[in-house]
Amino acid sequence: MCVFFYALAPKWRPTCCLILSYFFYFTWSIKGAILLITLTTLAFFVGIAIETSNSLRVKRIYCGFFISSLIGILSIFKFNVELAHLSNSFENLNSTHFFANLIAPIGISYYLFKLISYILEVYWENQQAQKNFIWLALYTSFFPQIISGPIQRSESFFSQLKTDVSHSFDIKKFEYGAGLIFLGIIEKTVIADRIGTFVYKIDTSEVAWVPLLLSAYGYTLMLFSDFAGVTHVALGLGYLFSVKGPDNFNRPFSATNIQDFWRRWHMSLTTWLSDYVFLPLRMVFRNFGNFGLSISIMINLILIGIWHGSGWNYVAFGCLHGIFMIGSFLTLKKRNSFFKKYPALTKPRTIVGQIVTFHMVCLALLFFRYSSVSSAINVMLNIVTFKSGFHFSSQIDYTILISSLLAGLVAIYLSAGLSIPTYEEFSNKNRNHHWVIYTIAALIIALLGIDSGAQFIYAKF
Amino acid sequence: MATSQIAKACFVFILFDIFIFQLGLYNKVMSPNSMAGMAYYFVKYEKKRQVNPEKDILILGDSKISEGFSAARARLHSGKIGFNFIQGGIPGTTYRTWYYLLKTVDPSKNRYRAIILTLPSYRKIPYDELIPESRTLDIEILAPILAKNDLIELGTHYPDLLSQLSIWSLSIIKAPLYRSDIQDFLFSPILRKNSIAWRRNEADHYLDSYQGHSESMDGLSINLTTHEISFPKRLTGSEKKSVETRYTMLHKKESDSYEEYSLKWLNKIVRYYDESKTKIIFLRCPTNPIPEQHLYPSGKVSDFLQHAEANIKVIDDDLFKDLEAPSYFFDTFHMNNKGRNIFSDRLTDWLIENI
Repeated sequence: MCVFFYALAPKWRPTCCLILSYFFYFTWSIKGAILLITLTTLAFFVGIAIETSNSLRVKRIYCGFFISSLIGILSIFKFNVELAHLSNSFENLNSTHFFANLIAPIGISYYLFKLISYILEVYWENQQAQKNFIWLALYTSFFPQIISGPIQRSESFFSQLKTDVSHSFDIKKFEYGAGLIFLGIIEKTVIADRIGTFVYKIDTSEVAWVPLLLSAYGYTLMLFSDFAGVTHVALGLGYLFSVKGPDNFNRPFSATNIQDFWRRWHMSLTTWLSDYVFLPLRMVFRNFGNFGLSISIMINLILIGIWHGSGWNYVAFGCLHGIFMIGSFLTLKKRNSFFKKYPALTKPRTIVGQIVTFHMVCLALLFFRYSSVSSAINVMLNIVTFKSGFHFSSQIDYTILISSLLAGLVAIYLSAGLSIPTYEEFSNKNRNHHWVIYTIAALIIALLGIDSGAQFIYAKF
Repeated sequence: MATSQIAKACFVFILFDIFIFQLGLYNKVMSPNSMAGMAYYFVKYEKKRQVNPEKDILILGDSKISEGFSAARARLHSGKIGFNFIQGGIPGTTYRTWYYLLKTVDPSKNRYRAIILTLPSYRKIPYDELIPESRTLDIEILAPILAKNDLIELGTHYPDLLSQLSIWSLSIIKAPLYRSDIQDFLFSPILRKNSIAWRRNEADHYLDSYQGHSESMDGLSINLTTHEISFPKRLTGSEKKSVETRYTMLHKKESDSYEEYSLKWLNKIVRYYDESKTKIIFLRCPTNPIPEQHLYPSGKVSDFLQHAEANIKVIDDDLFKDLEAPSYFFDTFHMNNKGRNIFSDRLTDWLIENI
């Protein structure tokens, strides 16, 4: 497909990519594809209407109405179970069955956020409305990014269609992309799925604190490896078609505090929410000082929680992170002034900060992992009260435990950065020996991957 | 310069795959206790063995035969006749795998006096697998030993394009097939070394020294009206659960796809030996500690039996009916040593009389 893509004249390449993207999406769901095309078409006309209108009021109506509709559509899919229960309580409504059977089209969370950001950027006059429907459609449906992101901004995407996609085949970019794909597949099939062989064995019937704690660590590292894997595969595929996407991770477990963590984890979502939710909220609450800041933080993080799902556990996940963030922010000045007095404690502060931040993330992810708040709280209480000691009630093969531990160590190494060069640094060094790394990577995937691996976790959001 | 990096890597990887996996080097250290390993060693020692087409009798089956038939005992029991029984019970195998195993070990179609194909039933009964043609286990068992053309042919028998492509890709890259085996090897290299040494020692007298399990399922009974199961006292909680799971099959419908599958592959085996002196014998081996008649009183005779070719002999269902009793089984699938001995002796007697 890549060969065909680069054989085409540059003006036809976006169309080729669009056909490929729609074909990919149509194989998942025809109804979902129709929804995608419909919303893209509406966004196309709304964008032009906003740009060409001379009245600010009309612009606001177009923008507000369209974005509200997109949020409404997303909410219907996210909260379909709750809506089914609600309509069930109104006996005259026949919509219970409709809501109960509603299945969210794949990637809807990602492409709706793309459309919302596009319309807002046009409304704020940060960019021009896209007059080329093919380009807008490709931006929304670009197949490497549609399943699990990253959520790329329209301006960055369109500028690459103007320049990079028109270039002739660049072997360096291709090699870079292929390497990212290898890395992503290793992260998913060798690391994440292997940790999963242990994590999924520890279910809610387990009560002893040691397996529960190991399982909590494992889940956190598995989630990172799985999501980083899918991101790298998506970025790599994008590179094969000369499109550079935004990375989602920047060594998140090297973060020394929770604010730093959220600057390094799922970056495309957090920057999106920061630009379109947090900063506007800060403007609204700017006269309320720390209280206003705290409200903005809490709303932002709860939205991150419910973006993942509609259950109370996701709300709890967001709230807990909100509490951590607010606590961290409110005490930051005092902590900084304390450590200024004792510079020798700077390095221990970094190490302790990383460990504490990692544990905060593990704790909050208990609510992410378990479908009910009470299950997550039970697990948390069992861990912190050191219940039942070192006793595995689930039958765990020692090879699973050891191989998962090894995979976990690799995941820590990748997620905390340590001394490993970033992929970009690696790709610029020792080019003559890259074939060795690629061969080893292929062998690792072929021989150490897990056959019965689970679906990408973030594909379900 | 950059082009050569990816091309180099592909070249080296393919070269590695060819030397280690395609040419069979890794097979020498494959686990003899895995299904693929058992199939590999069966083929290896069968090809090496000195043949005697007048005396050699191959019995093909799955774990019910590896547990339930003693080739050593049967050889002894055949006395002056001197039949040489070959243990072809490989867990996880079924008709399609047997067809390809026979193609691999007996290309001249004159190796055996008789081949006994052990069937779980002569009647249409429910099966776990709804579409046996899409069974991926067959690929895992056969891919290490099949020639490229047989591998490609095997692929054509899979119903969906994805399975076909994945099988055909194994004729180019085989490494992923050995994943579980390699990972197991990495974790227990000494155990692997010992089990390979043991298997080499066994050579073509595989399982001759195996005596079978001594436990029984005495105490097991099923009330088909109330669906109540009485369990043997010795069973643990998880063992009781697996007995319950086994008998939920009773509520399933007969599988038409299994009938089609049986007809197709048993006929392929029979036709393979069309112009051969080798006799093909169908045998319904004891499959359950509860008599089949009791579990499936109204099961109809299978189509493959009704359309059986002329060169087939069918051992009567009744010959081993009494062995379907709890005292002759150690779990819900496999005979214990008592059942194994009686089965082996009785089968030998029938063969002496009939072939």
